[in-house]
Amino acid sequence: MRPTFPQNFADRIGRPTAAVFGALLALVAPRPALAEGPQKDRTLEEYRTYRALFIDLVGRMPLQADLERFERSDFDMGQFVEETLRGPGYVERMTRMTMDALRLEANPLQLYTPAPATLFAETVRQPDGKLTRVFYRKGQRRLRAATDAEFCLTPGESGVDKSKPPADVATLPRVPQAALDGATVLVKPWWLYRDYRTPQPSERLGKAWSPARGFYPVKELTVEPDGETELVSVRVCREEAQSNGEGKLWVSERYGKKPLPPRAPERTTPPPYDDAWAGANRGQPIACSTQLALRASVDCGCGVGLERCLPQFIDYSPMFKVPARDPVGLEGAYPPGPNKLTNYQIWWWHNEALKLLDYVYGQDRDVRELVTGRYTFVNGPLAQFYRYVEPAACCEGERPLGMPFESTPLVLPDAIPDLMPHEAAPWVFVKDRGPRAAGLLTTPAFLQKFTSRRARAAAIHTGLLCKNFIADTSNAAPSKDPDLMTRPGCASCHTTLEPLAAYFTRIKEGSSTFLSLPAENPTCKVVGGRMSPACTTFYDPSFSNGDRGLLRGAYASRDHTEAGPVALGAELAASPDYVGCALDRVASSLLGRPLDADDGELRARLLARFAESGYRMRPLVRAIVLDAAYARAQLGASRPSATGSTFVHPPMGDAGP
Amino acid sequence: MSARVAASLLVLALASCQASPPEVVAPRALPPPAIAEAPRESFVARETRLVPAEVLIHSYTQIFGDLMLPEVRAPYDEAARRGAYFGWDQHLAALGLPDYARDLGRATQTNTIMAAAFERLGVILCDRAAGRDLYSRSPKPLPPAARGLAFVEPRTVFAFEPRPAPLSEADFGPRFDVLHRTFLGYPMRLAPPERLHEFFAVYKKVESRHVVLKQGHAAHVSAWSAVCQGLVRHPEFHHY
Repeated sequence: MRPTFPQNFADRIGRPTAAVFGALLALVAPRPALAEGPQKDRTLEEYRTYRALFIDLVGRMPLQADLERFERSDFDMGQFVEETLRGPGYVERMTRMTMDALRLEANPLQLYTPAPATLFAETVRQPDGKLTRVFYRKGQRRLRAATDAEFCLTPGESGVDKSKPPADVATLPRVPQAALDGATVLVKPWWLYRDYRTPQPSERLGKAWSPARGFYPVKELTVEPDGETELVSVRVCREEAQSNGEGKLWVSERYGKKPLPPRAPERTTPPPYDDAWAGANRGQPIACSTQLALRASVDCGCGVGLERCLPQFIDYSPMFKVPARDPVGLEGAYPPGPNKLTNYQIWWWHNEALKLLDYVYGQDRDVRELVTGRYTFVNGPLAQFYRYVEPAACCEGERPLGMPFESTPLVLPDAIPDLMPHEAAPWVFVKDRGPRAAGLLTTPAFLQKFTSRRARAAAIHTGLLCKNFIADTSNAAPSKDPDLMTRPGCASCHTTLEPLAAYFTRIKEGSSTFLSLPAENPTCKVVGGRMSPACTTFYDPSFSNGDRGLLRGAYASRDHTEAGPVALGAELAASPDYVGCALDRVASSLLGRPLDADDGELRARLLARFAESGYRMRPLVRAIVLDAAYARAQLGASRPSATGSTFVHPPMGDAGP
Repeated sequence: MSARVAASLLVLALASCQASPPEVVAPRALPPPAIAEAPRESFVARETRLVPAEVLIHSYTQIFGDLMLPEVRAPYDEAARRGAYFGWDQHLAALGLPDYARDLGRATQTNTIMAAAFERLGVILCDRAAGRDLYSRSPKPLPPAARGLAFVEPRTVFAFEPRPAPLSEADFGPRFDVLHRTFLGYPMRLAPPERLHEFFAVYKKVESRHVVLKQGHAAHVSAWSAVCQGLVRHPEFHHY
């Protein structure tokens, strides 16, 4: 297209000058590569709508080539919209919209390091005088009474005394060779060797192996404590280095004897209690990925190449490099930096949620699958999480109540592909996580972001149903009524919140453990006005009685308690509020204003289109951006003006000349 | 008579200039000084919304091609180390990106920090682009390592012959149109007519004041960079 001048411009500078100017302009104006066909003079309104479409659906502003295409007379807006709806910019926009509503990134201040899956490192001095790190698990049962459930070297051997402040490494004694050999072994771990599963791993990080984006151990994990000597293998306590998939329940038999056997003089803490469940089932097989295996077996370790565990220095310093933040569609905007182990997990939980959203919007799936879908995506770190870390987070407190391990998890570990922990790049589609999976609602991103059942319910109410909790005007009078659905001042919100929260009664707060405890448990009955301390974490004394304890949160709805998140997902999917909220959110985002009462006809039209398409987002967005309301929105007029003209010029501020 | 009157007035005027102590006069209220009003385009306010930060960054990346390069990031982080200004991460946050982990929502309105962040980003990127595009008559493609996240064609931003010689408004117009389309998404002919003159004034002002430093840009390069900076800071660039 050859640029032309507005009439008033020619008048101002004079026609002859304008003619010369125009000729010059024609000479120096860039020749559009696509401008082969006839051109069409577009109006400012058309340019604005086109730019808005680019911003909304392509995710950037139009470039010269895009404008040149637009200026061709054969430009087809419908075709253009169709193309953009199949591009990554559209998917990013939809994903951003959902993430803005749900904010599925857990708070990095929390600590998520389940003991069975965390290898802590203590610095010791080797017999040759050099420092090295020895990895161990807190609470690891050992046959050696002096180190049972403690670091595998006694304070006398290593100088590491957990009952005192950390000693200066310069004062550490040399560990006797026999003690070091007896208590520890050398292992080539997964974070150092790509081929750690082979008998002789040789492809070391940084040498024969350049890991994919997303997996960057910090330097300290790859060198000895001197900061220079490259680690060839890491020293690990013998019990932790075992690779059995299954162990046997074991008890020390130090208890229950009279008199008690003498306490090992090297110990700094009392010997650990034996697990009651293990005592009753001694010798029975136990999966090594469970917490019980740590507490009640001596033949379960971290697996081949320590793949069931993640390394963590004793001071909780950063272990892996991940970006501090991950804005949707801006991968790489934040460079990876050293982050703590918890942030490493949070990073992958967040990315799993993003993958789910990408899939639903990119494949134009029914948006109701966001709360009902049983599928997910995992990579190596997430496979490690689902197979080993998440099961290991259960069941310290549940065991006394008859739940020794997570028997019915939200995500079945066997459904997760056997990826290696360092395989960060490949994302594998998991068709079915298990019968308890319900879209985003059962992802760790959601459950760890909103850690309490009420927080989860509130997030759904506001983020997925577009509703707010508005308190009534009644005074919050002092009350001892534990039922918040009836307490004055609380009831107006909690009448809605509590039944919704009850769907998450069986999801342990602060984790994604599914509680298979009975809703009514006679073991946890109230006796003499008190409940057993072992019960109070999970059972609510306020709603329990002398016959049984009641699970916390179950009082609002027993049905919802038993039905769980799957039923909640189904209820949401069947609710007109859910699809209406999805529609309102996308419409208001694209129109730049909330839909209001005057948009009834528009909303009805869009809702019909949404339903007709099977609640797929792409047809809805197409209908919105091709609607006259969208073009009007770009002109700053929400509805047609009385004069028929909606064009007004945008404001100019001081920032522009 | 008129000659006499004129002569009398001349005498009186000369007499008033004679050396004598200044007459003491009572203070009196002066009219407020005239405020130099910046030229403003006529407009009618309309509802606009802020371009999402992600879109702006994508656009910067596409237009300039080298936003994410470590060498662009380095001055920010170096300044942060000196305590002089924000680091790179803080800059991106200041652009309005939401922080889901800390439940900080997306910025929907501009603020001072955001404006400053945009300004610094625009200055750096326009300067870089001007230096890249305008020095060579037959610019070479950037080396692969310098292309950042997007392929950068030579003269992507200043896609015209620069003409270092004094530039007339007639020469300026078509070149400015290239930038106008790139940043604001429509041709200059549809813009308020005074915009061309005002940007040309900016160009001339920078060009005339420019002092060629040993490592600085040539005058016309700095002037074009200033025009570019004006456009990336233009409200129409940040709103839609």
